[in-house]
Amino acid sequence: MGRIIFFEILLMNTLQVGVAYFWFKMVIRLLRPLSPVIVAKSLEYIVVFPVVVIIIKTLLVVSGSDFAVQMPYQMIRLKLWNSAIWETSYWWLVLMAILAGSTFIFVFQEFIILGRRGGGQHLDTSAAKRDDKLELILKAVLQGLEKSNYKIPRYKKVEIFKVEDREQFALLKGIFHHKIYLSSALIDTLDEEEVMATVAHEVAHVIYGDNLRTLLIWSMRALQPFNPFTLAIFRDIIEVRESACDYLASEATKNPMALASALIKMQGEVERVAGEVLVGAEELARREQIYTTKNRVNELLHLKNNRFNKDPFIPVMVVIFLLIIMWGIT
Amino acid sequence: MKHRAILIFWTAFLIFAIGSLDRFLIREHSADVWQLIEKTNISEAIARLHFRFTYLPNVVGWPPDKLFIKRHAESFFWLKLSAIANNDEVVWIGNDISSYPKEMKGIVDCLEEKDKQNKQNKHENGQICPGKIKKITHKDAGGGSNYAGPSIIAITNFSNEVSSKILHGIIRK
Repeated sequence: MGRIIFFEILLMNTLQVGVAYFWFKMVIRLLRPLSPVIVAKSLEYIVVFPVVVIIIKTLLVVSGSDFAVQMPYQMIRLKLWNSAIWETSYWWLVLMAILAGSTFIFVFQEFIILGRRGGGQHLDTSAAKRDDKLELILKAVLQGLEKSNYKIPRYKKVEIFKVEDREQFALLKGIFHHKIYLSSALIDTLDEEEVMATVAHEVAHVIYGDNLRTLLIWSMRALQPFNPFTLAIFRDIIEVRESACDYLASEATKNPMALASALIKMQGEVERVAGEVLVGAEELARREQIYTTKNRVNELLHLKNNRFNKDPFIPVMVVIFLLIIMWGIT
Repeated sequence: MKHRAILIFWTAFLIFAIGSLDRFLIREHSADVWQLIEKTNISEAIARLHFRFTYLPNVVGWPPDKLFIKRHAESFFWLKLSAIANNDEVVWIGNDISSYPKEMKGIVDCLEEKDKQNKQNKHENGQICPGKIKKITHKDAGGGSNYAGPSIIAITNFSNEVSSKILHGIIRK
């Protein structure tokens, strides 16, 4: 009996995320172009809501409410599907294999590949120095964001540093005390407007709650490692979030094209590396970066033309409909 | 406005489409999902349910004549109690309004039909079916027991007073 209830929870989670993901992918197509902030947040909800739904349902069951047992309309009658699957001799095995496969991919990807790559970019902070010009740019960016009603929460602090390095990079470190690092090679490559756009993008990550937010979303995803859809969604979130920060950055600078131009210049560096022999994960990461840059520049063009759907009710409706869809699969 | 309408339409369409697919694919199976508990095992199965009756009229026999429990979802049940002296008096008590055991089909179809007619104001006699059978929900009975469940219902030709008392008397263990 225990294994059947356990399987029902796995099935519920997988179907909730799968149906919600399919629904939202179509929403993106139908309401195109949708603000990347809305897209990024909605994708995060698709990962978080199923966990919340399971907690609420468990609390309702424990408190004895019949609402947990009997829904007015069930889109997918999970209990029937579960019993139907267990009555066959092989279907439960097939589904178990899919769920186990997803868990394996999650463990392999998160703990083996990233473990080998060191979990991110290493930075020698001893080479970091304060730079008056960068400080002024940061101040201008913060003022620009404030004018557009985006404020950095009081408990967060942002500082900016220049790092002497031949590689081009812009990095954000920290969870509450944020430090932005720009390499000297990058500063030399970009003009002032492009540097400002790059700094604005990093500050946008602070406003978006990026490192802490990523940790929380990753934790939610880690609670559903068996779910093949969360694998795809998490990847989407990371990609779309960059576009969301581009969007916020453009609100601050009112100059989306400067960011697009900075991205293109930085991509030149990525493509230059193509001349070298890269293998396995490194080559995949390079290709992914080129692909992501293309999408981001494309989104910035939409921004320039002010084409994004700005209806304030759309995000509210998306949240409500997501909850309805997920609750219909309980 | 156009985008909101598209969003509503797409969501409604998806819910309807997946719901229909679900009903189509698992249509045959749902009828077999109710498991009739053998008479000798009824008391034991009742003891495993998460509620108990604190009131049953003297005219009703115990244990129930029939008990159906949903396979792999044992919190769902339908049980049949009959009056000892009068075999025509019967009460079905259960908590699953989405599906019923085959044995209840005739009564349920009739009640659903009456319900539909009531909504269209075509029928004046309420939800009463042949044999004076009617549906009473826990809410109709005034709620009040510590079971406090909206989904406990009775399908019965017992008097309203007796049915309400039975529903009131169902409490969580």
